[in-house]
Amino acid sequence: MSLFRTKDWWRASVAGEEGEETECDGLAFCAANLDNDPSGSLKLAVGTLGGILRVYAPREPETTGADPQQGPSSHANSEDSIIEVQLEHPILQLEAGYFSPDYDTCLAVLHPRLLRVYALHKSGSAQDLQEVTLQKLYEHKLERSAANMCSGPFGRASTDLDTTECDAICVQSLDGQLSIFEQSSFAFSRFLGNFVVPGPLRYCKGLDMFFTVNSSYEVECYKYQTLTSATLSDNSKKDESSLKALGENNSFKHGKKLEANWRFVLGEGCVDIQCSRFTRGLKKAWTDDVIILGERTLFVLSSEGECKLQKRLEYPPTCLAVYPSKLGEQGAACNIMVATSTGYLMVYDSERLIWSARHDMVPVSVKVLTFGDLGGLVTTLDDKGALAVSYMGTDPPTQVVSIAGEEQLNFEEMESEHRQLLNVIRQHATQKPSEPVDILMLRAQIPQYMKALGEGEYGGSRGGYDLEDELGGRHSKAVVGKIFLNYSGISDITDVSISVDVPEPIVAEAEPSHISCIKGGSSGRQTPIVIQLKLFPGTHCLPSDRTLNVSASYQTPSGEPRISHCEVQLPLCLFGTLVSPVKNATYKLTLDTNKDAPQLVNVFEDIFASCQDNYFEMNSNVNVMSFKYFSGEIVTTIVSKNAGRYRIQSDCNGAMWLILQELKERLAAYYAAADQEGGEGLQISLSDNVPLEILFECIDKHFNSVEYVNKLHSDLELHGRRFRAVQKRFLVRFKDRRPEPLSHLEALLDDTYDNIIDCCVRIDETTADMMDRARDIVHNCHLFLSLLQCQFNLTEKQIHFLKKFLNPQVEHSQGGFIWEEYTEAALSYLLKAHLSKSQKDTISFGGVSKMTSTAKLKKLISTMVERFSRGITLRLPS
Amino acid sequence: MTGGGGGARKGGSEDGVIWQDKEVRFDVAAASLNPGGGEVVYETMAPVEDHKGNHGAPGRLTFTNLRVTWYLAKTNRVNLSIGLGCIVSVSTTKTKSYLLKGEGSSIVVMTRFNNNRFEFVFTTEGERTKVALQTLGDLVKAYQGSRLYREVKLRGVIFAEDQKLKLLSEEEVHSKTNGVWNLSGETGNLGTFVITNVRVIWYANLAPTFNVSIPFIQIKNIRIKNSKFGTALVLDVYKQGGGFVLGFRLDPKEKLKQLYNELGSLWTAYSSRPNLGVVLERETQPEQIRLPMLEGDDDVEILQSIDNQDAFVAYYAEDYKGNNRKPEYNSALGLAMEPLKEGYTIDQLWDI
Repeated sequence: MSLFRTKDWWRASVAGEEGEETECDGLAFCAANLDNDPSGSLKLAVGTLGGILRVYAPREPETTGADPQQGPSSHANSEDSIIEVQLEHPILQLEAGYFSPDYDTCLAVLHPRLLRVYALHKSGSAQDLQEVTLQKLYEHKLERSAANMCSGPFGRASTDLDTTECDAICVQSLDGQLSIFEQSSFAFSRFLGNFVVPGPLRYCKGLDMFFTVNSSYEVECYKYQTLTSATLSDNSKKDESSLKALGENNSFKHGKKLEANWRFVLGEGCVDIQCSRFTRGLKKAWTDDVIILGERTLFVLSSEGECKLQKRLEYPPTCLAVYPSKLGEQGAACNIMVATSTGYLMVYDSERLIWSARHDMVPVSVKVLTFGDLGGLVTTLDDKGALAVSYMGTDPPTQVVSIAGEEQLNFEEMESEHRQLLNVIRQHATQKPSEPVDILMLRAQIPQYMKALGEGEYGGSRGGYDLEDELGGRHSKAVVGKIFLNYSGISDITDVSISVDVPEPIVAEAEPSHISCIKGGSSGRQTPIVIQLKLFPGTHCLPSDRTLNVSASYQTPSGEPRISHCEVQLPLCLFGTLVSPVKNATYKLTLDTNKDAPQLVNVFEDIFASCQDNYFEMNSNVNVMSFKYFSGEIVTTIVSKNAGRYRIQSDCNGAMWLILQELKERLAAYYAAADQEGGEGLQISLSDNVPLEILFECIDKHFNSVEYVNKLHSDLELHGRRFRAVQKRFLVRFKDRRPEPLSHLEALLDDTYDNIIDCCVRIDETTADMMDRARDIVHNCHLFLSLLQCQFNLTEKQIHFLKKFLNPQVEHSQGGFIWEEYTEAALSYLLKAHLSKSQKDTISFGGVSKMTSTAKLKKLISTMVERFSRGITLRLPS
Repeated sequence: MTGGGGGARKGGSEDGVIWQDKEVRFDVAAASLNPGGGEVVYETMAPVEDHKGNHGAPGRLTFTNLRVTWYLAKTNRVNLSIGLGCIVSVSTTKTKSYLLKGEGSSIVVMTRFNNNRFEFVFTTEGERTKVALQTLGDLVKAYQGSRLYREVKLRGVIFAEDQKLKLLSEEEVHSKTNGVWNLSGETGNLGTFVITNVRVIWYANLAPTFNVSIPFIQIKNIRIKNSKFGTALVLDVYKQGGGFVLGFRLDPKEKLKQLYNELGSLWTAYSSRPNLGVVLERETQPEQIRLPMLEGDDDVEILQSIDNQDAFVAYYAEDYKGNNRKPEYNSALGLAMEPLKEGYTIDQLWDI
């Protein structure tokens, strides 16, 4: 729809003064020089269904404004109202015309049962209060309720228009009677045929024809002559007096039905009919066209009833105005203005839409009029009686920027917020989140010696390990360390629980292990809190690791759970003690160094000190040291002083890992302390190749053991199922009224039961064996890694990284993957990703899968060693 | 010679005439927001957001029998005064509201003032919007239906069908004086002068359609003056009411004096408690609504408070073009039309 609007030129509200609702019909509106003013200016007459007749004389806005300061006011001033009269009856229609020879313009008012013709009589000068009176000229009482009317010089052709003769009025009644009144006299009446409800009625002066639309949605055309001749041929007596003599019913019977001159099927209801010249060109011999506004379509018919134009409307129309496209030019073609129920005025030139504008009101009547010097003013009346004279606004349809619903956007603020958010995101991406300051600091202090515990001190129920046999002492011994809790935060922390993780076979005991609250702030400072940690050695196996993990979990006041953690190396004395040197051993390792070897006593000072009583004195100047684990394995270290060569030997290959690691660390520390000036760093190298066979053997044994345990488990399952099946059979038989004989079923049950027990026992045995094999792997793995480090001179970081792939920790879970499977998957990834010649961008992890033999794993380990020997460096992730 | 009962009317504004109902004003002095003489508050509600001009800020919306006012809760210097006479339509819509943190319902008030259309959108929560819509609708209806209380009417319908004087709803006739000449014409017209508690009516005895109805509220001054017709009672009407000067003569002089005194005292009585005719039937009596009296800053006197250019731009319902150009006949359309800008034709404008 159009973006143009109409603008007000003049406006009056007829809306109810004194409260009453006014309702106006589109017909009760006419424009003419009603008061016969010499200037010929148009007056607007509006009648309401409430019977109020108002006449306005719209004046140009500049002159109507009473207050010049107010600017041009488009509102009607009280002076613009010429007259306002309350008539006795509702006003159905107003027609202005030459209805009386005494006045040029009279006003015909149609009431339901009355037709009155008035003249506006003006007296007094153009002063403030000019007296205008409404003078009744004549009236006709109507016998039938009127619907509408039309007026014109009926019966006189447009060419020989007799100006002396007055206009006649034709009233259509609600039941289809047309009554013609010529001034104060009644002429005749006719009944329309095929009548149900009255349609619009229009008289065309140029054609001397009446147009109406009947209830079959047909336009009917009647020539005036047809109306009159019908009378003559039918009943010459039918004049006014005879009509009165006959009853209404009689007149129905006797009145001849009119036959229309032509009909045209509209197929829809009709809103309005207008007659005017529509076709362009053809100056000569023009005739009026009939323009019909249907409810959905605009029709233009010729005077012969032929369709000239039919245009479907996309909106529901309310009224129609036909006006000459050229002002003051007689017989010019007309434009059509259609008002819509959506509040638009549409202007058509032929079938082309040439303008449309949004209007304030939904008009029931629209006219294009001239006021003063200005032509083409659109005058509209709405159903509430508001009257507006407007013109077309031409402000280009610049988009009105709607502020409604949209907050003004503050781009600067948005930009800064965006920047802020980006910062946060970047911080998260690049930096690690900063650790909170108020954390609980953990520190563990472990002495390098064992302490004999008194009877009371030795944890009764916790079960220590009595080392009497091995050590010859009478009392249990333990390493007694301390854990310090430091807290420097301001707010309190609660629910602090300390847990200690020790490797096999050590047993730890921390007291207290739970603190309900640590007060923060400087006032309630309780820290450091000391927790006593007792570490008891164990005898049932070799140590699998030598790191002690202490962690403390606690809660901040805001409810965040936090964890602190610390690691500490366990002293060697927890794992074993020195014994008299043992010369022979199955497995031997030889390490070369680039330095002169120190006294072993100096290197293993603490362990020598702890064994003072029974060994140190015997070997005060030793180059041999035999370390015996509490589990019984003996590892001997022999030093070749001049060559700076060390030999480690033992009957148990795995047992050497701890001593080898200790030796390496202690030597490094020793030389670091000895050569202050730097010099050449300690280089430890392995004289032989790394022995893989022992590791492989361990792996095989463990794998077989696992397989065996798995097989036993499935056996157990099978036996269990069989046992339950036999039991069921028993139950069925016992429940039966007349049971069948058992027929040695009890022997089967016994046998199955024995099988289960046997199976369980074997599972117990083999599981313990499997655990031993697993430990073997752990120890050999440790050793392997240590040796690998020596042989290929790997850094600590590299070894640490390698440990993630060849993990010296073996765990078993029923039905899950085993260490071999994990390691195989990890190593194949390691070889591809970190230990290959060419670096690839993305290597996908193949995933863990069940294995049937250890061949591939062994091959992977060999390949790894081979790669190292080829000089391929292990790439650490950045 | 001034009227005995004359004098300036209380409660009026600048030049005494009531403007509240006829104008849309922006950011008026705080004192002008307080209900003036005859103004009755029917409803008030807060917080209400002025969606167009002061988005997101809470304010107070008040309905009186003359106008709708809104002012910002923070400072009443930001305010609106919308006369009921300017309101074209009232409707509701849904809008996004910052004040209500989400969707709120709004009443949309379309107004027309000085040939400009203003649109106001007031947002508040749903229940209040319903009340506001109802109240405003009733008020506009009541206002439209009670024009004779406030506007001078010439040649109106003053007689009912039974030939009795049509009285307004709360109107009482105080006196009816026959033989009063209206001195507007050359010759003068003999008629009847009716004084009621609301207005003065004169009608010609011979032609009752020739009449005038002047509400007291439009009377600027009442005096007795010598004219070419002799001593006459003169009524001055405010410029906004038409600016008429109406002279009436009555013989003998004593009777005229008596009429003058009666009119004067009634006018004064009316002015102290004007009845503006806008009455709503409501459950809560208007007297029960207490509004804080607004006071402007004491040390600041706003001299020019009517036209704040910045304030009203936000409310234009359409393009603001400053002044309306005088229409002229356009032969292409055959209609009156606003002059086109130079270099434009109708076709160019239409065939976009």
